[in-house]
Amino acid sequence: MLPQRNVWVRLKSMFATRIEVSKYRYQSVPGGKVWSDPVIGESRYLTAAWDDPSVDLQVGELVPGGRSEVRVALVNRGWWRKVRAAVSVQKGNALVWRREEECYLGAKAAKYLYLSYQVAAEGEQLLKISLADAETDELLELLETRFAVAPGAEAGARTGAVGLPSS
Amino acid sequence: MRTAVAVAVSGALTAAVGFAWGQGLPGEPPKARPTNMLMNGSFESGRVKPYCWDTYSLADKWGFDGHEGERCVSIRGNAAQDSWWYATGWRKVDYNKLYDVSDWARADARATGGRILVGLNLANRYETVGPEWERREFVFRSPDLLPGPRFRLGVSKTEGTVDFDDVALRPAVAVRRSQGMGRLVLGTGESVVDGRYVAVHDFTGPFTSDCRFLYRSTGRFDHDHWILDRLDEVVYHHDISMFGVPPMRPGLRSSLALKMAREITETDPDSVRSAYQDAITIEVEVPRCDGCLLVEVNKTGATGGYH
Repeated sequence: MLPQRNVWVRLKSMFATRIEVSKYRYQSVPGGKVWSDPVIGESRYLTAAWDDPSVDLQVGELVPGGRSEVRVALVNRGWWRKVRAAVSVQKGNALVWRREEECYLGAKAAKYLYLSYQVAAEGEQLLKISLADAETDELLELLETRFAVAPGAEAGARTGAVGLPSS
Repeated sequence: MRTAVAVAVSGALTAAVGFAWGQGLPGEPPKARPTNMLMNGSFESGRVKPYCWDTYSLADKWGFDGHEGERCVSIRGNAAQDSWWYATGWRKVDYNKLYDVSDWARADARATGGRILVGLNLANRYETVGPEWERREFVFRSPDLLPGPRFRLGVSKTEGTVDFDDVALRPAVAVRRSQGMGRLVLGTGESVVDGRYVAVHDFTGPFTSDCRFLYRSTGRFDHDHWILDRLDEVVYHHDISMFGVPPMRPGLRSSLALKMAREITETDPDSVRSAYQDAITIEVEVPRCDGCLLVEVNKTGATGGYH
């Protein structure tokens, strides 16, 4: 693959006082399995607005073409607890969508939750993914990202590729 | 088209190991907290100037008429030099991590030329701004070496006054697209088309200093290019990740694995160099080269210094 499993490229300044690099491009022909359909990568970014030092937050994948939902994997390495995960969409001060689900997490237990969401027809919006202690309402984690939906975007597209900001 | 976001949250109820920013005393469990790493980012508190902020300028002001609340900071620049406010009370960034910077800014109607600069001095970003309050936001990845990190709000070669308010520096996380039954993970700039894998680090846009295949950097990122001083390096790691399978780390069997090395020594601006071996093509654009740039390709891991 690539044609090896891993390829490392190092650009190193040797005997230099100043070097500027304004473009980097890598190309190879992968070995092994070849995907018949084109695959275009994309990165999207969420801001961690609230953080509990005892909780490690990892973001997995975002799959255009899948269901309009957030998949939350909860792994509890501490004591038994009851938590509430929620996804919400705001447009200005108006709440467009909110869905939440509570669950019990045993000590050192893991659980997946699936939370669907919808976005407004157009305009700038804010998507929030939160995790709170269900018994004390203490906020544990909050991820958020701003995005815009162009006027006239089709209903399906509103929750898809244009739904979240990307690089 | 519909979308799914997968978020994995793992809880680790570890004991606090010390008194740190926003945490309890030693022995107390850590508390959840907001993540803005800048103290007094709304500039509301202070006596003769906002707490936790200082200036490097000839004409600055702790003004009124802020975007939200009462106060904001202003700075007046000229065409000859850069001027800025910088944070003196902040939780410094960690190395090789993603951060989100957001702020509100506006320029006076007579301001001309130049740009405003926002963010870490080691990962700059320049913006233009109009006369009305505007919110800007971008994500950067911190370098692996942090000599004298400083968070700044300022102007570069601008004639006029610029106001800033409600500035925040917070951790960020990246979500990469997964395709092919949810197994193939690629980030922005990467593609597999007709059996050909291409990875381009796009230096333009609001997420410029980050890409999925950037493994390490010790140089500075200045808006749209790397600046490498003596012995600085940028390391890219190309693999096709499978979701749930962590990428391989450099192994110990790598000491003799160097397959290709090229040196760029010319000072010719806008030079483009390509290297070909084993179906691999690498293009590096070097608009300025006061010295020698080593381009090294290694297929099995590092020969040292990658960690």
